Amino acid sequence: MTRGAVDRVLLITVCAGYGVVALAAFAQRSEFVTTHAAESTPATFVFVAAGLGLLTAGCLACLDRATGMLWALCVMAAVAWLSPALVGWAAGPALARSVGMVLAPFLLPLLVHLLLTAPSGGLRGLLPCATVAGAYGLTAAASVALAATRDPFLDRYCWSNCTDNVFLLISEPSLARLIGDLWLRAAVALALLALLVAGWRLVAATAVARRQAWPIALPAALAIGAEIGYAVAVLRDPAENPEQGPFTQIFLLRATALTALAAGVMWLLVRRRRRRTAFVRLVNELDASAGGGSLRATLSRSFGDSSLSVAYWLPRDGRYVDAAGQPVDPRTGRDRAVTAIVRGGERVAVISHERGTVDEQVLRHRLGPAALLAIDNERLGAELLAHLHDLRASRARIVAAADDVRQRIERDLHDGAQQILLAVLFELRLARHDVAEDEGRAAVLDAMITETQRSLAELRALAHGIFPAILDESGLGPALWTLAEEATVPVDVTSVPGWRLPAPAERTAYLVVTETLASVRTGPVTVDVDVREDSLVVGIGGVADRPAEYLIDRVVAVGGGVTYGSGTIRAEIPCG
Amino acid sequence: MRIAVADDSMLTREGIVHLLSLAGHEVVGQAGDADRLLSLVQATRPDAVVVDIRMPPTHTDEGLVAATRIRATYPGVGVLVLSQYVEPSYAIRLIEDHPEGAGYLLKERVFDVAILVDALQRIADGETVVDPTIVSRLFGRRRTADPLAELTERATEVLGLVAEGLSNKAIAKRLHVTERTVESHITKAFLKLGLVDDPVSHRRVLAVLAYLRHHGTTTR
Repeated sequence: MTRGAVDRVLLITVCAGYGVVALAAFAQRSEFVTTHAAESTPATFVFVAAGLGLLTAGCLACLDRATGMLWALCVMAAVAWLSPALVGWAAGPALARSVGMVLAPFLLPLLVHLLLTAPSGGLRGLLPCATVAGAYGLTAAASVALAATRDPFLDRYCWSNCTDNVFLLISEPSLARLIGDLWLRAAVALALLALLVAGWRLVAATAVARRQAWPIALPAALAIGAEIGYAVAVLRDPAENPEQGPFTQIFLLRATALTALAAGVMWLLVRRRRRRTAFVRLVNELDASAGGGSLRATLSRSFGDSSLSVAYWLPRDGRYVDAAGQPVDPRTGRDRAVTAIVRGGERVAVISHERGTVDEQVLRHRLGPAALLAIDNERLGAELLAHLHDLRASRARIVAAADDVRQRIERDLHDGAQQILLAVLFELRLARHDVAEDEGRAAVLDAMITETQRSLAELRALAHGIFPAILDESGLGPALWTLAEEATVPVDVTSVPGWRLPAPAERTAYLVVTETLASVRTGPVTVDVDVREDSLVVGIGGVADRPAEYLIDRVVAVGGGVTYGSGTIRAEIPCG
Repeated sequence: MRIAVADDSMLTREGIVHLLSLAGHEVVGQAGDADRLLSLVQATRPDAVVVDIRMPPTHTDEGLVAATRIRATYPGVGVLVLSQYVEPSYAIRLIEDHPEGAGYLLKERVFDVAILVDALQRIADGETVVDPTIVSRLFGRRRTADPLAELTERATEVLGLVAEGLSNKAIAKRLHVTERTVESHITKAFLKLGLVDDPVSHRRVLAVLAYLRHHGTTTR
């Protein structure tokens, strides 16, 4: 047994023992009425039912680890609730009566705690935490201060225990009365604050969380309301005369609310168990051969959480992907949690879901071989798809990088060699101007000028072939017109979109046309460029040969495709 | 003439300034980019500007954009755009909206002072100047059904000079024929191509260029 389990068993045993002693003390009570539970048979019945119910609910909750602190709160609430019976145990030891007196006031902070943790068993947010901590702190302070100062013998309003207080340090009846009075007022304020905070929390919560919270939150709120009523009644009538005022009714209400709370906890546990069983069956029936994403669909259906998503862990890449292989980032948030699925000590996937919708115990430990096989299958598929995406992206990047290099070479030729030749030409022209009279030297210079101009023209043609500046500067239309003008066969550009498209699409389309035109020996050729549903469709008619392999590769590299039929090449290039 | 020069390459800029002063023109200012050229034009109102098509910041078509703006804002200022590209689409873009007083020449050509001075003079006179390389590129285009093939050699020559932006008078002078002969060639050629002869010379330039560019590729 783990340390935590030992602690649990110990606490439950102590609390249950305390409860049994308290009930035994109640059974031995004298003819004096020392608690409202003794006033009538129904009151006795609900008193016992609430105490035993809370103890039982706590024991059951202890078996369901996903409910957090719920079990402890239940058994401790039972202790606090049964304490007044111990206080009235006239024949019992003084210590038992004194302890009962100290513990009884803790019912309120425990109820506040239960209300604000419903249904997850954990506290979140500054305000709920502060409210619960304040409730415990204040109660502890009041209880200890009363124990130290209240001398039951001198208490004018002494009701159930008028002799024993083993913790008494100094007998200060007026101070004790003041503390008791202040405590009651503080309790009312605390209870109201807790109700407000819980209301706000429920309003802000998701529908799923709300649906799960109410079996605990509603009776807890009712019980806190009854505590408020009780405190107000005592403030108005410190003698707590059962014959006068609403004390009997308030007691019945408190007891009934606590019984309902115990029932609510048990109902929640039963519902969780039923759902878990159904879920385990469903997940284990998962068809391992079903397509990608079936796990997500199954989980989402069985948990009733449409926002649920499954992310597969790829250890080699150190990232998560979904069933389609797309990178995802499973994050926790205020309303979202992630639960990891671990196999052989290694994380294989995480489920991202609304808080409180998914049973982590089931996901971690109760998945059968079919479900695990389905998960493994889906993960393998996802990994494959992810690598395919990577490959595609890397190919597109390589193409883009090559295009950029070509563009840079074109610019370098333009800004470097061409400028120098221009400067040379300029100097030659000036020199030619100066020697206009000298025919011999003028002829030499003229020859040099002609050669330089030829070099310039060739350089220009070279730069254009490497990468036509007009394509990036003015777009596909002007670039294709230039191609048509330079072509060795008649080319008819029948339509080109007049607007600019993403550079990779424009460059690929241009390359398809220019490479095809270079391979055509007789015309005429028609070129038709159209945009259809995020794709640039290039049709080249009048082509005798199939498109070259590298041309197809180039189009596929940017995510497109090439077809050929009846003398027409058709390239589809994504441009979304 | 009062002229402003814009080119981001100082070498070219200084060269052109030098040539212009050799030819006796006054250079009112120099600019290294389009913005400075625009403020220079606003301040000095020159007769014409010589502007490189490729200038900072993107080194694409800043010069062309600036030239178009100058033509639209200051109709009295002629523009001569210099380029290192034989791109008919740039030339057509330039003269599309304001054909008169605009010119597109290859950079290397203007280092011939005679050509530079002649082009500026024609632009100042409100004519259009298109680089012969551009025109011959358009003429050289392969066509299946080619009405140009049916033209006589002389008529083709005359049509080419029309596309370069020359007036009838200038064509007559260039070919050593009478203006009347030129007119008759143009009428016949235009008739054959299905073009309407526009007496305003700069508009017919555009008509011929557009015809050469877009017509007669396939028989449909």
